[in-house]
Amino acid sequence: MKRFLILLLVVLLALSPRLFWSFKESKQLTVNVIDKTVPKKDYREHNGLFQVLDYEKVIDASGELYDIGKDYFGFDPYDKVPGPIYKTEKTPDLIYVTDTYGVYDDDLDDIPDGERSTIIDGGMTLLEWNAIMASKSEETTLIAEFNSFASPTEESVSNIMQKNLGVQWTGWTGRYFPDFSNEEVPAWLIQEYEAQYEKSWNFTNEGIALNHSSGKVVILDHKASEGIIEFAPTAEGKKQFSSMGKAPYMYWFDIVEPNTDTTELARYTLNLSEKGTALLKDAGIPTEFPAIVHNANSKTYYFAGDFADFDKRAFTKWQLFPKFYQLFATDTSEFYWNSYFPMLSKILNEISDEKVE
Amino acid sequence: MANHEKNRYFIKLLFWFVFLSTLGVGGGIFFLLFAVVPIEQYFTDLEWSQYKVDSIMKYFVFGWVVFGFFISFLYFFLIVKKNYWKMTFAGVIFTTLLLIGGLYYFLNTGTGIVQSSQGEVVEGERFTFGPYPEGDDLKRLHEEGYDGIISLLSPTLPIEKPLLDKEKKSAEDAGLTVHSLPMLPWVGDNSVSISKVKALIHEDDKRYYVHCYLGRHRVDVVKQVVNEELGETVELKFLQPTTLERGGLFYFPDEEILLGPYPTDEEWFTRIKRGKTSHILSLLTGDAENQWILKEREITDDVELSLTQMPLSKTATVDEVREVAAAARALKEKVYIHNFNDSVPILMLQGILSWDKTLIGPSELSLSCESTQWIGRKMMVGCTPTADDKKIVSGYGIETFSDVSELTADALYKMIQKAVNAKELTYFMTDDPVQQQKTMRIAEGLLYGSLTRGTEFKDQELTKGNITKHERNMLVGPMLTKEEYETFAQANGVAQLIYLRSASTETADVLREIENATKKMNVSLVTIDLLDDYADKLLPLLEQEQGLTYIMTEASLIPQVNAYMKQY
Repeated sequence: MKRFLILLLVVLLALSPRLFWSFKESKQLTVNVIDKTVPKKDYREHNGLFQVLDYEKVIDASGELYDIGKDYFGFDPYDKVPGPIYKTEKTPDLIYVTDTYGVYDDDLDDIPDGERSTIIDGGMTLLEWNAIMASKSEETTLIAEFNSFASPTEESVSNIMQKNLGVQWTGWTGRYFPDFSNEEVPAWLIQEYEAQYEKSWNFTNEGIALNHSSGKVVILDHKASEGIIEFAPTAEGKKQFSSMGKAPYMYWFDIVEPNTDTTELARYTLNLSEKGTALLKDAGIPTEFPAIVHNANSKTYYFAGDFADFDKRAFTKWQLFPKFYQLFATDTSEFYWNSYFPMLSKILNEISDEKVE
Repeated sequence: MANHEKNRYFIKLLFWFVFLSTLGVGGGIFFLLFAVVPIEQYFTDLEWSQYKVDSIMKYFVFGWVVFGFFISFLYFFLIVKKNYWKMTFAGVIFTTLLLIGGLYYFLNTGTGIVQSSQGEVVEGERFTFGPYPEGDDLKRLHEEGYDGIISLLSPTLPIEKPLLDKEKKSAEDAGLTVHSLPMLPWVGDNSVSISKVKALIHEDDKRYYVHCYLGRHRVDVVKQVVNEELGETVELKFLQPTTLERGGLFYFPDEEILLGPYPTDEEWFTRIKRGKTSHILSLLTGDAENQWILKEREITDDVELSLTQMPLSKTATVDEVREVAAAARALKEKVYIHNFNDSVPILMLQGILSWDKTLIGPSELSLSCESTQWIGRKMMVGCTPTADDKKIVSGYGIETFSDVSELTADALYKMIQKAVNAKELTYFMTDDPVQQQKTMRIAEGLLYGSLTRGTEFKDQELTKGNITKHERNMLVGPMLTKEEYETFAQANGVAQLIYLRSASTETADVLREIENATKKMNVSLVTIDLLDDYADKLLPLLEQEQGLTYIMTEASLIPQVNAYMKQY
């Protein structure tokens, strides 16, 4: 009997985070997610967001947890067709645009070759953006992140979106690559580099690639940079999100300038050698630039990175597990667990608290 | 003795293997029919995403494998190994019967159990999806015009191979070709078969019936491929144009009647046939137009349009015009009435169809004061007529005389608007040539938009941007300033102002300002939010013949609206 009780206790202890989460109070919020970049059934472009929604136990009007495979507006990887257009009956509490880059022919292949191919669905149209803005009340929080207004969204619509989000895009986007010689580097980037510099792509090791909407490419290899893009909260950011830590950011980002009525909550810093600094100076690219821009009046956030893009499944229905993940996270996971997850949790809690008030 | 023990051990292992395989397959069939399919249906009914359903169903498949091994190990260690031979045999007999029963149901797809688990037949233009077809089904498919069968059954599965063989034989008897593209549900790589499906989609335009066993899982994969490869269906975008090369075109959508000139070769197809016109009512007259009559017969034959000829001259009486209108109305199908390029009979018909009255008589009308100007066949503008002049003019059909000499632009607009709304054939009189021109423009705008193909709007600039003329009665341009509601909208006889509101760029204050301005000026205003369904709201407003429509939106959005309108 004693052994049985000990066993039961151990099982209960092991399951306690899950039980704790089950008994945790849920938050009923209307969350509208827009993600047009869902070529595969991993939903990685909004997986990071849905994991936070799960952890915070955010439920929809019918009392269900949000379903990663259904509760978003965008491409359907099962039927391989664009999903329904943005339409909402209830005024949303949160609108989150995770990605509008879209799905291209090449993306549907088992192993995409990274060549530019025909678009199937992608970009934000004026009509869609109007629908989003028309559904946004004064209480609605609007979050958009890279890539919401870059290619293939038309410039006129992109300009309107930037204005609404309180930023001006410089035209530059970039990405950290752990190895410039592997297949992760898109073929179009290599082609544009080779055409621009008239020499072949011989980079190895890690580094950062920057690409302008005009086609210009700047490569910061291991001699030009330490390969790290550091994400760090500003003083204002620390005040608002005390648990949001700094971390290396290792994926796609864009370089924006904040409008005057906004606050920078986090910044990126590129750690460069003299060579790297000179390269960026020649190209007119800053070495530090905003990572999170917030407009408190219009309740908008712009995340200048692919923050919700996270390809790992985690035990987010287990209380306190994110704390463990924080302790052991490395590489791309470090930013997700140390910076993004606590920040978004806080935003969701704020929205929920305001709704209750 | 050692050999005997060894043999005995192998016999026991053999019992375990037979038990495991018969339980796995036989029990698996019943597990699929009675557990997996209803559970999956239950999840689908809960409106779970396919991703969520698939994620969970994988555990069921995996769970069945684990369960099979677990039971078989219990069987082995608790029964076989302990030499309970009666129970050993009973176990194997039971699972063998389970296998036989399962196979019976599986191979007889017409049985109630199987049918209750089968998916529905989903018919498409070239590809129809459904469950395993029996011989009679294949005959019926052949009679319905299907060219082949795409079978997703996998011959590597022992329970599907006999079904595939049977199908091939039945299909041959029915005259159908079977393309065997084996797939496995939920698990496994189906890329080779998917590539073959893609090839079949593109290599011909044949009709296929696509099936797996139940028509629920594997066919869905092919459905996705077909959707992906064939792309979206093409929607016909068409807004009836109101200007053809040889003159203006008038459309009465409620009666499905079009009036206009003789179309050019291209316009026959792009403007008339494409607009779903079924009938042509030709007003061409005499020998001079003979060559066009002959050509018209040829063209209408080519593009499969019915043709009726009712010659009508410019000196036609009201009764003759009414006869044509009645004939068009009697057709009960979309009809295009045309002459060559003489606008007078067309404008008379336009008057009869819209107001049930028209001005008649030759266009040259000289009064004792000076000559008058016609505004279509509904109104006139001219000098102040004498009593005798008034009699002459009344003979042309004028019902009302209105003095507009001293009116401000705003009052002039409102007076003409009142006459238009009352459908009065009106003579506007003033001896001031400038006032005459103003009256002409407002009246023409309110009645027709423009009778000169909209040339007066070309290169017209407003404070916030340029105007684009799309049709004789449709302009797209920027938001008007306060003054421009009078100097542009009223002065040009804008009958309808459509405000395309962009929620991402404009506030409620802007809307309030527009509403106040249009109310003050008596200009009709319709506000349409620039959302996905805006065309559904906009197009019916543009189809109606109701004078000049000005579509206004924020200057930065004009290129988008222009591009959108040009699609039609």
